[in-house]
Amino acid sequence: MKNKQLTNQKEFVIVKYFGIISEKTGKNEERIELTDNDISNFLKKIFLQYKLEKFSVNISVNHKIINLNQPYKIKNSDEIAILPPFAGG
Amino acid sequence: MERYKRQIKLKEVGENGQKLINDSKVLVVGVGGLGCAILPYLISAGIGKIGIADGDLVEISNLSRQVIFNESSVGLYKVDEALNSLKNLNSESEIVKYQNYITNKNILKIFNLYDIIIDATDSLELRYLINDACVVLDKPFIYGSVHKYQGQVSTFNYKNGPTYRCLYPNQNAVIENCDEGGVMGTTVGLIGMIQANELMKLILKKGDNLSGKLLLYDVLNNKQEIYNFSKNKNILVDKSQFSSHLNNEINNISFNEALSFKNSIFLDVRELNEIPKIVKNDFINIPLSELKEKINLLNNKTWIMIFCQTGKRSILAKRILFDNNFVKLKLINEGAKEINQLIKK
Repeated sequence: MKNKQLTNQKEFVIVKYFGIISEKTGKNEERIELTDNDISNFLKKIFLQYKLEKFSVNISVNHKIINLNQPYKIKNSDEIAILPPFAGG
Repeated sequence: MERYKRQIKLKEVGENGQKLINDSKVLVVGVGGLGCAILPYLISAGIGKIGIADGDLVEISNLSRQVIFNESSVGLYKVDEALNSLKNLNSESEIVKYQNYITNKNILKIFNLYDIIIDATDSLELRYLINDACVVLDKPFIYGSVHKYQGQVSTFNYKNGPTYRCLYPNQNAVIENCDEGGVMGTTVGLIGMIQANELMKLILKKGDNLSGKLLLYDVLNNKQEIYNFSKNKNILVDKSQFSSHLNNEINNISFNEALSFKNSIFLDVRELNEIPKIVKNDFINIPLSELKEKINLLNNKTWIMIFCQTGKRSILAKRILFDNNFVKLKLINEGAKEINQLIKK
């Protein structure tokens, strides 16, 4: 019964945006409800929402950059960062 | 050694550390905001040999952040003006200037003369070239880059550690062009200083370096974050790959070389209001922002010689054209200002 209660609770992750991505989203970070544990599916939604598909970025979970070619599960209160390359000097 | 006594006093430096500094050879690629912040400290600290590489001229809009130049530098080569400004800082440091742009043809020869490379460029294209050359030559490079109030710093290829390609494998990343991005001198100054500081630790072999770590500094909100990444063993760069790959990637020629091509057109991808305006036979001005929609004004049977102000937009233009079945493409080394001067001669 206890487990059942837990799964009914909403889960959230923090998503941080940098560089051009922060400009496109208009924010430095936000708290987003975790509706899909698969990182690729989760990101797809964000990329669609903010029209980020054309940008080449890397993704970190809890300060470790992950390989998006492999499946990765995110969990409640993970911190995800979207890191585009910078080019100014 | 009297001049270095305050740094020698630090236990991490000492006489031995100072000797390491004096014996080191460092190349700074790019004399923009980052390079201008980095160079005086390297020279004052006593780095034995410092190479400075940049093909650009000083523009008036550089002066707000490129603090080693002055008003009389405008219109002159950055490396010449940097040398003038820095040569009296330390007679014990040898400064060598490279006035030509770093290309796939000269990079290995130049990089071979140095122990550590500092990437202070503003070009993503060049960053991959620097990365690959450092991998081939087994040299570390300290990367810094800025986007508005944020900066990234990392040390790549340190003792066979992760490289820029491990962090950003996709070379076709979309970056906003140079004309649009604003920046404060203090931001690039801070990021350059972090790069210089990383260099000192690398030379002294002290402290924690940024190999496998991407430092992100948001100076507007005083926030620093470190993101860890590991080596991608599937990414290999060797010498043969290096030359063939880069021949496709970078195809720069000088304006004078470009003139010798028969059946060619010069494509200016600056905005229509940018100066100097170049009006001439065989020159066409299509801003980068309009290139896709006006692509039918160009003929893919003729050579297209692309230029802009600093070369950054030219690279993006080349990509767009290449994606639309244009292959006879060259990038002109010189910017519009220099081309305008060369035409007048």
